[in-house]
Amino acid sequence: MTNPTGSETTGRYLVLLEPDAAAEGARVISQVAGLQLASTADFAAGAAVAEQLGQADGLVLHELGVAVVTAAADQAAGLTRAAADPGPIRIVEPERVVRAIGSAVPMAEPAAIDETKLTWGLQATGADRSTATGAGVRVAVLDTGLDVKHPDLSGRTVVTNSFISGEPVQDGHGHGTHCVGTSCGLRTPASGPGYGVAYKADIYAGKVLSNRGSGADGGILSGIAWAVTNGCRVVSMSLGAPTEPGQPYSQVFEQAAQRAMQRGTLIIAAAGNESERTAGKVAPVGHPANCPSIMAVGAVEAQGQVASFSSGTVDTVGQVDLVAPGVDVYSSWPMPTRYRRLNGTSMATPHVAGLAALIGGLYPQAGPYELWARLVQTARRLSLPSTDVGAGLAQAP
Amino acid sequence: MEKVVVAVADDHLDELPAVLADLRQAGLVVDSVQEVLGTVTGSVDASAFGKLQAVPGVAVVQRERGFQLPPPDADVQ
Repeated sequence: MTNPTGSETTGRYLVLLEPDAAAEGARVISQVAGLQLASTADFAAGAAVAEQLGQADGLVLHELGVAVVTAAADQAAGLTRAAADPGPIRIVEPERVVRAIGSAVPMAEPAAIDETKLTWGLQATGADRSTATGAGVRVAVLDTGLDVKHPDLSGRTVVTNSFISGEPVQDGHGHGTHCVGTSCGLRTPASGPGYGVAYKADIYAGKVLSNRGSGADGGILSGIAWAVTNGCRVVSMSLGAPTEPGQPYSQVFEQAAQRAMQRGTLIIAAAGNESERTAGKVAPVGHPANCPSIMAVGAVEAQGQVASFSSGTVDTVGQVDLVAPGVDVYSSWPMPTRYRRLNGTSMATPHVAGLAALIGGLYPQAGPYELWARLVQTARRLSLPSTDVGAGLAQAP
Repeated sequence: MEKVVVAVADDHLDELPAVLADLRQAGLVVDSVQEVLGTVTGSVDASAFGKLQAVPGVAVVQRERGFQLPPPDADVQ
């Protein structure tokens, strides 16, 4: 692997060309800088690129739409001017010297926590610095329902459905109201810190756990189907059943998750709270987060360490995919309590669901596989085992 | 009776009504059908569990699992 250094350059330049404009780009480079370029498009497969590069003023890497050129200062200036004008040349930058990576990048010192304005979770995920709002993105939270008269929901698009026989969607437990708050709640409450990630997303609250906190596979599948049918791009499921090491994942839920993804819905679920890391015990990811096509979220605390209870990767499948804030998480709670602090991978999961909605808002055409890829691509890497934190701490776009 | 969840195979998703009829014939009392997911929930006499798995177009039959949150006053949720 190689690593770009800060300032050391080779004297050559990289010229980024507009898409599908490699040939035109070579012509314009010749016109504005007098450089004669070879092109990989003319090479037979396996030709020695280094030799060709030595004979010309540069080489067009046709497949990449990039030219590498040797240019004097006046020629480089001509290229830079051309980049500012309309035409096939988009960007000109000096080629950098790259070297093998030595030591790891040191971790930034954790900052002191100040929740005067926003929760630590919004700060740690960069949601506070993002311009994305999640507006127009439908997020389903499948949980104990929602306090539908919570004042912080005033003016929001809220769609509800109950899959618990005999119970309306009104949250008699509190868990669902807390999770909706983290994923989609208010940024600027009258008092206390803002706590919602995708604060303009459309809320789809599906009650699949009763007021006593219990549910079953059937109701959850019905909730997922409701979310898919309603065009929800993200499903947040802060629920799970403990598993034993070596226990296979549910093929029914894996099939359902794959079909949900084919129809445009990403499912994000809590890894589980079964570990007791202080006692040396790491429990496997629970059901259904252990399905490969369901994103499993573990919990970290404000200093960046894995929460003691957070389930981990124990088997060859059922991995933790990402982590998010899951300790001392401030969010909404049914009235009259209004707000409450809680711990759990249940609290980490809606952070990631909200972040997925922020990404979805910025990329309206992005399907669930792209949302997954962007979440993993942009996650902040942590100096912790991937078996505990997957790709790292999820970040806002 | 046991509560079960059933996934219909990819190559039978277009024939869901026929698969449902065969599942009922094999002893499944259907609770609900999630057409967009190709899944079915219901209950079956424990002795007939194996018959469901043998129905053409059934990918997998599993016993339904339950979920239980901690009580609302618990610190870890």
